[in-house]
Amino acid sequence: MAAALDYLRPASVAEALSLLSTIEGAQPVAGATDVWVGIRSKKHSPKALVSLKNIPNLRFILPDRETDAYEGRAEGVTGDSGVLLGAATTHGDVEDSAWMKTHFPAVHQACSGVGSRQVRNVATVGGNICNAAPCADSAVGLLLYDATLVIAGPAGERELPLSEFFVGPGETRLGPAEILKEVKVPNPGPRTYAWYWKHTRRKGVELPLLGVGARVTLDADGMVEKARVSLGVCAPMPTRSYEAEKVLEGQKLTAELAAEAGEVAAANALVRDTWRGRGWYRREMVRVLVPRVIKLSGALS
Amino acid sequence: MKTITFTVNGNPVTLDVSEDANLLSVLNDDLELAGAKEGCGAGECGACTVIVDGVAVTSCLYPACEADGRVVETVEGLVLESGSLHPLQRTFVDYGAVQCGFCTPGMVMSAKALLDKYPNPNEQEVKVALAGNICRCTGYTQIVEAVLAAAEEMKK
Amino acid sequence: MTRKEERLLPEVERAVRAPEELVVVGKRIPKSDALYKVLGQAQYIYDMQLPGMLYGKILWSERAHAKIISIDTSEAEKVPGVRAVITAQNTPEIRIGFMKDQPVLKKDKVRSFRDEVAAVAATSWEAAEEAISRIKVVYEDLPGIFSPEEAMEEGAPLIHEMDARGKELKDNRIRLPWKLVCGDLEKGKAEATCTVTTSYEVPAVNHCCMGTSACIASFDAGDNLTIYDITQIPSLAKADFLEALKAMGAKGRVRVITPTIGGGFGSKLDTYGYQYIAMLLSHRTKRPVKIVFTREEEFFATSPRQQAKFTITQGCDKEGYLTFREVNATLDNGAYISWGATTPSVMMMPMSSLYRVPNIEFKSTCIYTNNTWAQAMRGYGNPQATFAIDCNMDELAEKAGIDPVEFRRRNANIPGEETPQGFLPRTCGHRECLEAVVEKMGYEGRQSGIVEGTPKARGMGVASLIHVGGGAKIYRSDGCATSIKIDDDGWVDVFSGSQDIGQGLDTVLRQIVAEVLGFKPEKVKIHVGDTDTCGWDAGCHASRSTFVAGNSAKVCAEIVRAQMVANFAAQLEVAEDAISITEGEVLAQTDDPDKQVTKVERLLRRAHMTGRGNTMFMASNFWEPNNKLLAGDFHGNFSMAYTYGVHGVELEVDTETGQVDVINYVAAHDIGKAINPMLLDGQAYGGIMQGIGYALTEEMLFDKGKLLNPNFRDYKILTCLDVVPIEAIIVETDDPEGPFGAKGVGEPGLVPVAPAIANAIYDAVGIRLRRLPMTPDRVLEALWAKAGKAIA
Ligand code: FES
Ligand code: FES
Repeated sequence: MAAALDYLRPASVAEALSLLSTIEGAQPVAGATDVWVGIRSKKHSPKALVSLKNIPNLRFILPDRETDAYEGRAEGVTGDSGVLLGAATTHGDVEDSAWMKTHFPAVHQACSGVGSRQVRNVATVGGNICNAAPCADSAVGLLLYDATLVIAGPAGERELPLSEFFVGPGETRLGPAEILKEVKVPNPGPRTYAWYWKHTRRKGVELPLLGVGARVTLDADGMVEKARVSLGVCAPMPTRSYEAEKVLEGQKLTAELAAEAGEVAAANALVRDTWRGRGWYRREMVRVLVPRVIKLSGALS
Repeated sequence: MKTITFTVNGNPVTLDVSEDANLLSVLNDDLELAGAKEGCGAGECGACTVIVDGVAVTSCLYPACEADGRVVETVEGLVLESGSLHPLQRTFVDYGAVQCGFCTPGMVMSAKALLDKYPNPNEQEVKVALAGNICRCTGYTQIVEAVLAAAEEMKK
Repeated sequence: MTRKEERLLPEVERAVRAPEELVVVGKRIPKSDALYKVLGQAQYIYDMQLPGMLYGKILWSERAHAKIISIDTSEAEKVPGVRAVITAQNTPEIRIGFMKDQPVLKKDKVRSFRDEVAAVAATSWEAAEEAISRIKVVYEDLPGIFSPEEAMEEGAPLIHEMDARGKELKDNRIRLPWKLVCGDLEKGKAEATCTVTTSYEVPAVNHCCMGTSACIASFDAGDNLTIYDITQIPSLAKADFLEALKAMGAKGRVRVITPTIGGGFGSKLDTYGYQYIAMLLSHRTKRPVKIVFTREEEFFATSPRQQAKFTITQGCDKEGYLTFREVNATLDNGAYISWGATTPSVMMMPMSSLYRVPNIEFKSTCIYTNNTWAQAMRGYGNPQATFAIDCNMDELAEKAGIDPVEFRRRNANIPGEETPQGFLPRTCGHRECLEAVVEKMGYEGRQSGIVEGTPKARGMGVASLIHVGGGAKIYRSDGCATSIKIDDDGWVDVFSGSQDIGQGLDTVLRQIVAEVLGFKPEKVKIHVGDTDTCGWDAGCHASRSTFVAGNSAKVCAEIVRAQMVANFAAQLEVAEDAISITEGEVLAQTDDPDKQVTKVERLLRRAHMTGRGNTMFMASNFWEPNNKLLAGDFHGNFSMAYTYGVHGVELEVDTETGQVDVINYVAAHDIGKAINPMLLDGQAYGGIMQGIGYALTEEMLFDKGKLLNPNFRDYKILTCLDVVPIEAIIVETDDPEGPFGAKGVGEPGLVPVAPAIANAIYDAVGIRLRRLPMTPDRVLEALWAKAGKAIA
């Protein structure tokens, strides 16, 4: 029989870190939805699961509200400086946050589309990022806002831009004895428009055939000051389309420019043929959906 | 084995569970609460939906150990103290929202979690809340009607 | 005037009620067991635990086509808790399927990934799983065949070297003579001024019952088997199991009990290997053995609707009347024969009788491959065939320059006309359904094509259906047994041979019996699914239960009612025709005010407990419909009634993404009479949503016989968010043969959905999708092809 699994519930980040560094093959989990499927189907057999669910101060949307009791972080984090998400914040927390919907619509949209409501109620933003599936909706949403990850490890905390976090499918720069603690999202500034679109075959409970995020921040004259285009399922990991961003930045945003960004994003997308979806179709959808998402963001009006 | 203590339908229980057990099997096998059903075991059908700390979860993906200290509600606990059916149970019966019934306990619990939080949902919100509960029999129309009707009734 | 006063009016002549006087039939009464289901108390097999019960697991083949060289179970036997490990080597051979082409446990070779190679019974699921993982099988691969085309090639490897009787087989064709000829095809061709030939392809789709397959087999000391099962065919399954018992050398009897069933849709119309394996394991261990499929097993190891290809030619004359229809179908049967191989017998129904077409030739070839083997699914062969027919109808209409709806009007079926295959629909509301749908949708004034300022295009389409609605004589008997007893406390027990798989037969029978007896429906309990107490029935299939089991129950209730009326008349000292029973009260036409209204319980009790009769009221009845087995040429009236319908769909096609959004759906069904409109709506909604899945999203994807998507993540069954607004219109034609005029309706909802959608897509964007499902990439590909754009 498979080696017995241990299930540990540390009460602090420090305790979690020490468990991770002492038990070989231990894996941190929060909602555990993905990991559990793997364990059940025997595709995955970690020696121990280290649950982060009971650690205080890991589940919050600041400054919107404190989903769990939260101490010590409120200073310096205000609406003006963006949002700080605890890694154990669930997708449902984000979905229910009207504040997130107003200030970070693309992240809100991305989180609201993950799995079913039941899964969103337990699956966490941190877990979605650390799983590093090519289709991770919330990561695609967060990439638009230049999110930074706060990672805790034996040697203390470090920060890493989300865009540098992914290495390959299921692979990240998270060390074996590290945990993702927070996601810092800077204030994107005024005149920012963003949206996320998940392209699926059916409407409910789907992995995306393609995930497309777009964000533009306009300057006072209506020129694109900053642009972000992010894609899910277009590469082995959630990615940004730097080429498409370049097309947009410094230009006057028009429908034609958005379409050009779509063309460029499509031309550079690393799509593959799989039985889940054909490469040409995915590429074509990048071309069609990038301008659509820019339009949906409201930046064109 | 780990010893866990939690509340099920208002009653505290303490029992030993294996580390790789999910909440569903603890409910079904150890507590003999058969209402939550396994339709897929992978969080993709919703038949196993129960409410933990006020939110709907798929109990097949919920580690039993994680239930320690929490409050769990299952379909068996829905009947009101007066002994009468919960409005959702009544409208599910009256609107033809039940055919083979396999999805029903999970469906009702997803709906309850929604109504507990948002007593006044519109049709789209009901659909979003129930999208994780697959029903192969009814085509959902009567289920959505039943949930909206229950919401109406609960406002009275 | 109160109701009671109304009843006391002198003209008490209620023995024969006009339809508007029906008290229970025609009402929206909740499903009988819904209460237990919402309480979480309904018992399914998964919930059942028997003393000493073991858990059974099956080792499935790891090859699509291979010789079995050896099976080593020694390590498995050592796993603690294991009580038995069985293979073909250490068990008697049991052959299953109606052509007996498969042994339950495979001996010399495996022919698909779902072949059962070995099985284990242990004291826990975990031990059983562990033991399964320790069985070592050595295979020698054989070349696999995964399409009918490959299978038919000259010199293709044989999947079966011989048939069940030991006769050598020369090729992979299944020897079933599916050919229907009606009228004179050549004459029909000569008369046609316009013809269209097209080909269509449909995928394998899974029933996706939410409750997976499961059973518990248990032998008692007398070698009697009790099997708790989820079959749709208790009586026929019992016969199959009894045969297996003989092969096992067990001399006892068989009892099939079905607890609540988590969905059927045809999947439980045949028996499967796992049921026999549970029996073998139980017999070996002398303990009850439970087998429950995982969702993955449910996907790959139960039998889907099969993959099929059709080539169809239809022709019409100058006025737009069909003159002929010629169809060739090729079916991927998979590795063994189950009912999937017989779906052409049902395809013949729409082929011959959907729309009036005098000259027909339909041929079908069914071929062994190393894919999963097919079975029945809601509608049997009908949805597949109707997809081909009703898409081709639109293509022909266009070529003939006639509007698709007008074309259907001209060719619609009419009541009383024998169809070329010899069906005699006494009632037929095809035209009424068509007009109802067209009007409701606003078809005539529709605006098709691009919606200005958007990349979306709108369109509308229609398609029709015919289905058996009055039984279907596939076996020599198509009947159903009913027994009724009334206890002197006023509770009624009805034992019906038929089955409830969630569709609500329990409630329909309850309403019929309550109506006939004049009792309150709550007083009537329906018992189904126990072969020890319920009589024979041909099973829950072919939309036959309302009609056949309904008639059976109705006649049985009439017998009991007559007994009661005779007795009550004597008790009340009035003539029999002065008695009526309604809602549990006996009304007597008499001047004696004390006798005018009596609670039925009182009279029942007096009938039983007084010297005046000392009687109980009970009766049994076997009702056999007057339909005919199809003759050798497949002609004959094999159902006593036929259900018709027309579906109309309005949708939007996103011309840039290929996504199809159904925005409006109207479905009219002529079901004779709605016994329970609420349950009927449920059948329509459920069937239509399954149909939309068939049309747009569902498909079992195989890679060399291996199922790639055995889960709800990758097999796209529709969710609550995909619900479309459906208007279900009931057309009542009051069939003279149906119970209270009703015809069957279990399957029709699914039948014409895919062609209606395909036709609407054409109306919207002018492209023809001839392959299901019509996924966004296929739609876009077709749009590109039309625009002359090549895909990269
Ligand atoms: S059994 Fe839990 S979601 Fe299907
Ligand atoms: S009622 Fe059968 S799955 Fe919902």
